[in-house]
Amino acid sequence: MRNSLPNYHKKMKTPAFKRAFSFYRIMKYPCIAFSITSVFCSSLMASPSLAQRLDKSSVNINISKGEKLDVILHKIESLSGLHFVYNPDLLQERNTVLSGSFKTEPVRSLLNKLGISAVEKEDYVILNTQGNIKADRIVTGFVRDTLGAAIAGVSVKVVGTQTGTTTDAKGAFRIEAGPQAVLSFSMVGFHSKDVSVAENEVINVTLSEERSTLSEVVVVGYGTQKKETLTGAVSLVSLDKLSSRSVNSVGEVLAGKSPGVIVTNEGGDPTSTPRINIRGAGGINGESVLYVIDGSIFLGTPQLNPNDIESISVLKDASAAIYGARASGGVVLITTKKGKKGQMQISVDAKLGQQSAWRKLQPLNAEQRAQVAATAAKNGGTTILPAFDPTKYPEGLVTKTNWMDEVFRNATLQDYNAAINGGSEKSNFYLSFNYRNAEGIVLNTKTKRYNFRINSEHQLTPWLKVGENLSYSSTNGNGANTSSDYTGALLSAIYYPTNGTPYNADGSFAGLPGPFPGDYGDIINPVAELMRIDINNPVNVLVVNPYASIQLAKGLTFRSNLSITKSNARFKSFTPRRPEIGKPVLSNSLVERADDANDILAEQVLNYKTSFDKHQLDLTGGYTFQKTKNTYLYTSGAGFDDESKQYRYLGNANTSQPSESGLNATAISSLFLRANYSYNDKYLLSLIGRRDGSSMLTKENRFKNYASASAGWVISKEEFLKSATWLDQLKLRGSYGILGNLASLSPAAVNPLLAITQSYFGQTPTLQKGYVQTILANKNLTWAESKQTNIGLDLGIFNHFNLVADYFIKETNKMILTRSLPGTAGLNSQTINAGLVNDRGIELGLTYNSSKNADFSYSINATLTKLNNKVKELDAGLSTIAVPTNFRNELAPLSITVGQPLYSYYVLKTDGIFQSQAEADNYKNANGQKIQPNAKAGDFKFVDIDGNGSIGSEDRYFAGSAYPDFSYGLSFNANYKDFDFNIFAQGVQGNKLFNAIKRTTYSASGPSYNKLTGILDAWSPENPNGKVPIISTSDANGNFNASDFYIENGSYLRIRNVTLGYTLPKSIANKFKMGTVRIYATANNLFTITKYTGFDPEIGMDNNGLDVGRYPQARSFIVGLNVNF
Amino acid sequence: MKTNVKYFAIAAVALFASCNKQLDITPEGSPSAQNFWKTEQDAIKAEAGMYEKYNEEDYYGRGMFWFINASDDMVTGRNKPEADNIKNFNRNYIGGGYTESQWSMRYAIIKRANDIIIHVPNISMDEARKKQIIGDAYFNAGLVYFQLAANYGNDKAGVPIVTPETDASVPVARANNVNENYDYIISLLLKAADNLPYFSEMKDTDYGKAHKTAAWAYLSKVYLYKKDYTNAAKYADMVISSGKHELLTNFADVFKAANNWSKEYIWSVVCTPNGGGTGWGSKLPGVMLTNKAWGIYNGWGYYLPTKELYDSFETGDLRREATILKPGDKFQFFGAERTFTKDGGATSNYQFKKYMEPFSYANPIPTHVNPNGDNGTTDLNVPLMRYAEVLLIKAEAAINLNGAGAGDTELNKIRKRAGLLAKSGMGLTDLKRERRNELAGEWADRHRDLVRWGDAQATYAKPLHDFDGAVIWPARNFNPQVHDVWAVPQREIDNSSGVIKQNAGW
Repeated sequence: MRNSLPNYHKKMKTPAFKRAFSFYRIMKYPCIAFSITSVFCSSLMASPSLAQRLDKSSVNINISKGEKLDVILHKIESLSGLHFVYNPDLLQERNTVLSGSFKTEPVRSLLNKLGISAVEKEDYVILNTQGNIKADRIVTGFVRDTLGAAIAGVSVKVVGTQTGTTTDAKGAFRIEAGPQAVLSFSMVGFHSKDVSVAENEVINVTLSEERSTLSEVVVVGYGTQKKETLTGAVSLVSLDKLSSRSVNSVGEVLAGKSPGVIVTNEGGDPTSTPRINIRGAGGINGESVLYVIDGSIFLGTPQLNPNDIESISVLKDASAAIYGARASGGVVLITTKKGKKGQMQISVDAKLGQQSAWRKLQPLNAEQRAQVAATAAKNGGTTILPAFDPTKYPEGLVTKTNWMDEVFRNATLQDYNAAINGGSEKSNFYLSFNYRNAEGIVLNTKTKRYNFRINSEHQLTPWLKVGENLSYSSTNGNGANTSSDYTGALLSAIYYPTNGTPYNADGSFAGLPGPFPGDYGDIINPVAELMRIDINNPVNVLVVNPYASIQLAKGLTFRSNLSITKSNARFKSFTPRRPEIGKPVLSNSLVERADDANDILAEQVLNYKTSFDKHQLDLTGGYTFQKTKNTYLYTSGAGFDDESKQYRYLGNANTSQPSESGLNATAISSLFLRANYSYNDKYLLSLIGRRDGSSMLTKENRFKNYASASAGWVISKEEFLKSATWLDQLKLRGSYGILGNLASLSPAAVNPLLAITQSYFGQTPTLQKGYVQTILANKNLTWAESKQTNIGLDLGIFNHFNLVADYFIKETNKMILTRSLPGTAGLNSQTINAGLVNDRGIELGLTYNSSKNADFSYSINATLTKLNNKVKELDAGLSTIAVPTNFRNELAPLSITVGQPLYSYYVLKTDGIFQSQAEADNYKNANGQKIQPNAKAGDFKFVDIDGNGSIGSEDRYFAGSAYPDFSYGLSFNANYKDFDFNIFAQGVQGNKLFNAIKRTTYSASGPSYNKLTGILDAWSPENPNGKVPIISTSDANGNFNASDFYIENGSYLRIRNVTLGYTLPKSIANKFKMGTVRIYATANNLFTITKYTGFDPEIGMDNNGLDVGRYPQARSFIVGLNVNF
Repeated sequence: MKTNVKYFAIAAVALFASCNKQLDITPEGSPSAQNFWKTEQDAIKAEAGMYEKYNEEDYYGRGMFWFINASDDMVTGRNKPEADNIKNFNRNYIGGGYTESQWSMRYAIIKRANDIIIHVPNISMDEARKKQIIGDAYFNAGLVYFQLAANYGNDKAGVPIVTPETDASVPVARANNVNENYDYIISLLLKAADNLPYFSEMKDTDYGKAHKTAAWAYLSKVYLYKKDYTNAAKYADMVISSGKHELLTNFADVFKAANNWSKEYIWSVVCTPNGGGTGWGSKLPGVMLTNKAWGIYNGWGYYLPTKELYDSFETGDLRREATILKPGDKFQFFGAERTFTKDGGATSNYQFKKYMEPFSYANPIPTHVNPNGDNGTTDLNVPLMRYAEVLLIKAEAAINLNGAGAGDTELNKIRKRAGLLAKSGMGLTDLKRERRNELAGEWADRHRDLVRWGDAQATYAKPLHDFDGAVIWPARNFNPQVHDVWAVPQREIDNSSGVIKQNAGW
């Protein structure tokens, strides 16, 4: 096939292609089939057909002095088409002494000039480099490090020969060499150095320490890159002692470890997963991070075994454009462990721990509650409720239960991990299993996880490599309802009267106590509610990811990747009767739901690497297609005569409700290209282009092109800095790009379906289904655009310090905005492209690594992210969007307004408390009218911001948001002999939280729930400095309307993790025929510094900072054992 | 080699083209607006969709009942500052939860009605069914406009008028005054009456959908509010002379589920205790039931009668005991006789009795009463318009047109059933008392009556009392210049980018 250049359209000679094409025609999903067909094609392409004619070949070449021999050989190869075979060890680090411009120089002659003899054999040329460099003297010298200390044991070799020696304890060496020789100095932990002997007899050498960060290879999406040559903002996440922690999800691994990556825990519920934002929320509808695991895009949040993680890198800026439309929220690239050549290794790790709440809130006891009720009635001019009146119900003053202690518990945690890895020259494998079972700190909550993984890779032929990553995860758990503003379990535990008990004497669940249960409000016994949870919610995810990598030609590789993710989730929840007084439900019900997701990703990627002179070029291009299909089935029944476990199945329901089912399918198809160019590793340029098409948009708007460009200048490689030995690296980076974003867009935005309704008609009311429009279609919807600019600096000095600093601006334009329509529209929402949100910030990452060779070594890693977001514009004519998030429909403090950060609090401004009636009456406007006509002593004074003489919605002001000013993380790792120690602190500063539960627990107006002790700081004539408004059953002044009273400083500093480990000395371990044995103890969330008065400052962002008594983070203590065989 | 690459490129391009076809995915699961509005079934389903909101708590469960609660007939039974602020005409209730959705859910019904008005005429289907559905759309639109206009519109500003042609994406400004609204509502209800069948002509499976006399009855009420007494009398008379309606003999029987569809029925919320999984319809019976219902059920205990209401009844009025429970009254509850006692913390010693019949039976769950005490719907349809109110509208219009005595015929029908002697020469005072006593605790809206009669300021200047004579609600300051309407939900003002303005003074 190589002889003809057939016109593809006229005649198709090649049967393999015909086969392939017909194959794809009959396949239902041709794009996926390509992954398979491409394997056929590649076997044809790799057939050897390049004849070698060494003696007939000549080249035009420029060789500069000091150029590496292997680079020259590469050039000769690519110019002549010859294929060289040689021992790279003998050539790699050798610099040539030859230089000059050669025209039509025969290759053999050129090789000889380079001191290389050549033998032609069949298709290739075998090179031999020995015997041409004659030793004529003895060279001596010392090898020192950058601080001047002698280095012993440095290997000194004459390049291209067998001659070699090592330095002694003083760093001295002696070796025979000739003037043409090049000495190579190498030592693990140091950069190797080559020195030409020339006329010298004494050569002193300084070796610079090799810090892992510079030579690290970073996964950058469809390939890897040396960290040295990166031009984008890509960070490598340090996994300090990850395996010593027990983490629920991958998000916890990232928290505080990488500048710009903000991990927010959405409460501490064992079934909740943290939110990850890279460089801001990315507009109103938010962006989620794109996860790429072993090169395959994973939609959603992966349930990984943290012990399987080999490395994590994060693409933060426009360099993520390689992932195009879905990458504007940043990309987290996770590489899992692979097998290693050599003896099989087995590693077993077991952890046991206990978790508990670090802080519980303090509700009033029964006596205090009665006091508050009496005060409230007196001040409100009402009669005291009999339940709190000792003359009517003396028992009401007896505290019987501490509900906080009843709903929280000490929970156990188990986490086991086993892994085997091994491999030969041609094959390797990694196999692991993980089981984690963590009880939650709230009664009857838990999470369970199984992970299983097999990764293997096989070099089938010199040009063909195949492998697979196969993983299976299964999770299951019970969460507690702590997000409902009415029935949240922790709210109920605050609200429930302390003179009540969880259980009756007969063991049944107790209801509200006493003869006046109505006086306590509608509250559910929280213990009963939690203990009744009967949820089975297994989520199984299977990822099958085979791939093949083919060496098409020199420097040209093709990789075909297929990833199939199948997940199924079942949900079964039985709600028993709740007969006790409180909020009785006198029937029971069962809900079952099945969700299936099927995701297919097919990627074909070509990569071409080449270099000429000092130019290096790395081209990557490819095509990907991903199709996702979600289906669900929902069914429910009610009226079970018998609630026993064995009857909790739908067949036993007396009434079945109509079932529902549905489908959601989307597909995305993309082409991409990346060109990385580097000149002498000094001037770096990277260009990325991508074209994406989505099924969610109309044909007209479906495709969009994205591009980014980034450049780097390694200043430290410039001549004028070469002598600065203290400087390891100084690099300037800059990038700009436009990325797309479809955010949380659903196909319904462009092509909405009618909603199905229920209503009842008839003499005997009978269900009648209906269809109604609730969404206003928008055919013109298109991609949101995210313009990202980044300027960065990498600095490495004194071998120990490393600084990465970035300044970025991210403008999310034409946001996909689901706006509430004006009430008169009669529809709920419309999704539009509108507005502009700006995220800008500074990221700093600082590391310090002590000398590794000492008994005591340590490293410090600090990250700081300062981020500001601002809404620049919304839709035309739209300056504000009211956010529906609220507490009990009574407090809705959030707003999205132009000129403010997203989700800012928009509330009344308090100005202290009126100390007397006279003071309240004297608060008058220009017309002499009272500004707050209903105010009394002890009520809040509100600021009349608009100056219209009365207090109303126009007097609201912006009082901050839940987004912090900056976030930081600090880790310290140390090793002393066999001990290792890690401490990790993380915090946020300057965020504001809206402590909404004050509405019901600091106020005696409204439902007569139990209150928090905070209410005791209420104003009274005796307590004039009280910060809480007067205790009263009335709230005519609107004291508890949304104001800055609820807004608290949400800053915190949390010692996330402390680990102390001890590795048994080898001698002892060997006695037990084991490899390394390490025991460790870990404390998570050991302590927290915060001024926030709620359960926990980490309430997450899903309620935009409005705290409704969220499940707090647990504090845990874990001991673990790690054994390797 | 180059050739190989070329093949490769060609294959890739061909493949890319084929994969792009894979991007044509049409959402599945239910009809889309494009493929709807084709068949008779579509029309019927669209009609059913209009009624979805009847199930919402803030629609006929509580919602505007917080406004009705402002009257002198009742007090908020539990400590509830937002409700207190509504009752006290204190602007601090604005932005709260109870009344914020009143506009949006009503405009949703208007939108659904407008869609029917546009699309159903083009569907080829049974003509009688088509007329009925179109009529139902006009009726529902007219009814919810009326609720909005009466509560939010006055001579200074009306409520926005959204016609079938209005662009849904832009905010609509308020009408100049409430009369513009009333005129539009009248045009809708007239079209409704034209298209709708009589209730007697409907299949029993369609009960609960609009019918002709309901349209006339609301026309008479709209004209009454508009103070166009001639037309109010005219449309009340059309109901009366239709011969389709009459009063039940026994007042208490009106509030029995068995009489949901009696001749006195004109319009009500269809209710069922166990439909839809959690019951359907108005939960007003549960909302009015004493808090915690003596530990047996989850009453909410919100709207409790006052001594003012109790004492307003003439001696011997059978309606009093059928309307109000007071301490010591005997009644059936969950199959057993109870003597009425209030819940410990209740603000009033009375409770409304009108919606208690479903709770009287032994084991009423789930046949009569919702198993979920948090959603106290029952099998009793909560009345919105009864024939008795049509008689009262006629009487009020007649007295206003022709002076005292002009409404005697209608008023005496009502008095007779109440066990009272017929009177003659009855004037507005009698009319007001009869209207109050007949419709107490119902959606007929005593507060609105007091406002339109101009009696609100004087009435609310007096405190309200409990059974034992104690003051349970202090005197209130009602400013007729401001409080004749309620405050527009803050959400609507915020969401309209300033197009919708707050009522003056609020």
